[in-house]
Amino acid sequence: MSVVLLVPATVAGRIATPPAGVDAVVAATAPGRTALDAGGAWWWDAARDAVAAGADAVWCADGEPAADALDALTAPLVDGRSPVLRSGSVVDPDGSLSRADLPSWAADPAAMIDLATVAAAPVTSASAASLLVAAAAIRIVGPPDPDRFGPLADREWTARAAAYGGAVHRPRSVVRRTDRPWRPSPAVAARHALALRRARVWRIREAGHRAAVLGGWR
Amino acid sequence: MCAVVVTHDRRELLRECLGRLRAQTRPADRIVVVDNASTDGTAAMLADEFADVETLRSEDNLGGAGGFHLGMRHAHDAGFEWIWVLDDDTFAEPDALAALLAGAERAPAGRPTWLLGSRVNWTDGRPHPMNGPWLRRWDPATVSVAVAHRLLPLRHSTFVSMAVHRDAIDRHGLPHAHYFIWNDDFEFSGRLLRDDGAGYLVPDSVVTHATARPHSTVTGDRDRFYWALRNTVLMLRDGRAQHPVEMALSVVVTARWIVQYLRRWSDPRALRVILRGLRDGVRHPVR
Repeated sequence: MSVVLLVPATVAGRIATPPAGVDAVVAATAPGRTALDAGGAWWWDAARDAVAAGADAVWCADGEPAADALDALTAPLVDGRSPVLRSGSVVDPDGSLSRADLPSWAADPAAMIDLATVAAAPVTSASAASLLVAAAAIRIVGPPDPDRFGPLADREWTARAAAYGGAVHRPRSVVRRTDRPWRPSPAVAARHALALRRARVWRIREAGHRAAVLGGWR
Repeated sequence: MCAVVVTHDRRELLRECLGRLRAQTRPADRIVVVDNASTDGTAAMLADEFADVETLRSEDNLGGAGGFHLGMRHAHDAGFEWIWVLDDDTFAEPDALAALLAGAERAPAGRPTWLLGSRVNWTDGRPHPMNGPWLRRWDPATVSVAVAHRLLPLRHSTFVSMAVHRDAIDRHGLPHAHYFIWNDDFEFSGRLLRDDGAGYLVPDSVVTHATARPHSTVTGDRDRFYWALRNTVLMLRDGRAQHPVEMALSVVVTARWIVQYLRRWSDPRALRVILRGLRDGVRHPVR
C-alpha cells in the first residue's frame, strides 16, 4: 500500500526522514497555517492530488507522527473490517491528549465491544489532525466545505466518509503537535458546532460539548 | 477473588452456572451461593454435587438485591480483594474470570479501578438487550484512553457478571437489599462510579445470560416492571448514583419506558402496575 503523509508546512521541515511505511511527505498548507485556521480542509487539495498520482491512502497529520503511528493505525481489525477512515490520537506539545481532536463514538455497543478487543473503536466523525484516508473515500466522497463548517470542515467531511465506508479510531497511534494549535473564539466554535448539528453530524448534546471544548470553555 | 451467585428455584440453571465456574482457567478462590429459600431441591443438589461450594441459605426470598447484599457482605468480611457477582442464569466462558482480572491489571492509571464487567450476550451470541453496556460515551477522552488499553469505560453495569473491588464497598457500601429485584445493579454501580472510581467493560471476558427470551426492562415480565419503576424513583430520590443531568435523563428514559409498556400492555392491570410502582417509589424509605 502506498501512503502519502500530508503535514502542515510548519511541520514538514521537521520530518527528516519519512516514517516507516510512508512513500512521500507533502507539505499541504501555506506556511504558518494549522489544521484549524485553514478551515479544517487544509489537507484536501494535497490529498486529491496524491490520490490522482496513484496513492492508495493519504495520512493527514497536524504534527509529528510517532515512529509506530502508521503501524498502529493499520493494525488488523476484527472480522476483516477495512474502514476507509482510521483516526489516531493527537497530543499537544505538553504531551496532553488534545480533547478538541477526539472523534465521535458510534452508538453501536456491539461494534464498540468487538473493536475494543483490538484497541479500536467505531466512530462517526473525526479530526484530520491524525487521519488515514483510503483513496476510495477521496475519489467518491465530495470535497469538504470550509465556508460552511469552518474549522470543523474535517468533521463534516469525515462524517460523510464514515457513512460511506466506515471509520475507526486507533488511540495507540499518536501524532504530537509541535506548536499550540490555533483555537477559534467561543462564538466561532459555537456557530460551527451548530452547523454540524444542523448537518446531523452531531446531536445537540455533543454539539454543546464540542463547542465548549473547542472554544476553550472546558 | 470470591464468586458470589444468587439463586432462587432454578436448580438446573444453577448447576450449569456452577459447572462453568468450576471450569474457569483461573478459578475463583471461593464460590459462594446465596440460596434464596429455594424449594426445588437446590439445597440437595448443592450438597451432593458441589461440596466445594459454600452455601448461604436464606429462609426468606430476599430477591436478587438482598441475595447480592448478603453474599457480598460475606465475601467482604472474609477479606477477598475482588468479589465477582453472577446471576444463576449466567454461563461464563472458560476464560471469563482470567480476562476480568487481566483487565484490572492493564487498566489506565489514575482513578482506582473498582468495577469490572463482562460482555453479556444472549444465547444467540448477540448483546443481551437488558444488560447494557452503559458506557461513558459523552466523555471522549476517557473512552479513548480506555480503548487504548483494550477496555471500555463504564458508567453503570449489571450483576449478571460484575467484579467489585473491596475498596469500593469500604467507601460506598453494599447494594441496597430493599430494592429486591431490578435496578439494584444500576444503582449500585452508579454509586461506585459516579465520582471517584473507574469501571471498565472487559471485552474479552464473555458470559451468556441465559434468559428464556432476550427481553429488556419493558418487554420482560409484566409484573416485574413494578420493581423497575419503584427502584428508579428510589434511586432518583436517593441522589447518590447519578449527577443531576444524568438524573434528568433517567426521568426521560423512565417516561419512555412507561409509554412503551403501555403500548405493550394496554389494560387496567398495566396501569395498576405503573401507579403502584410510582407510588411505592415515592413512599418507601430511600435507604
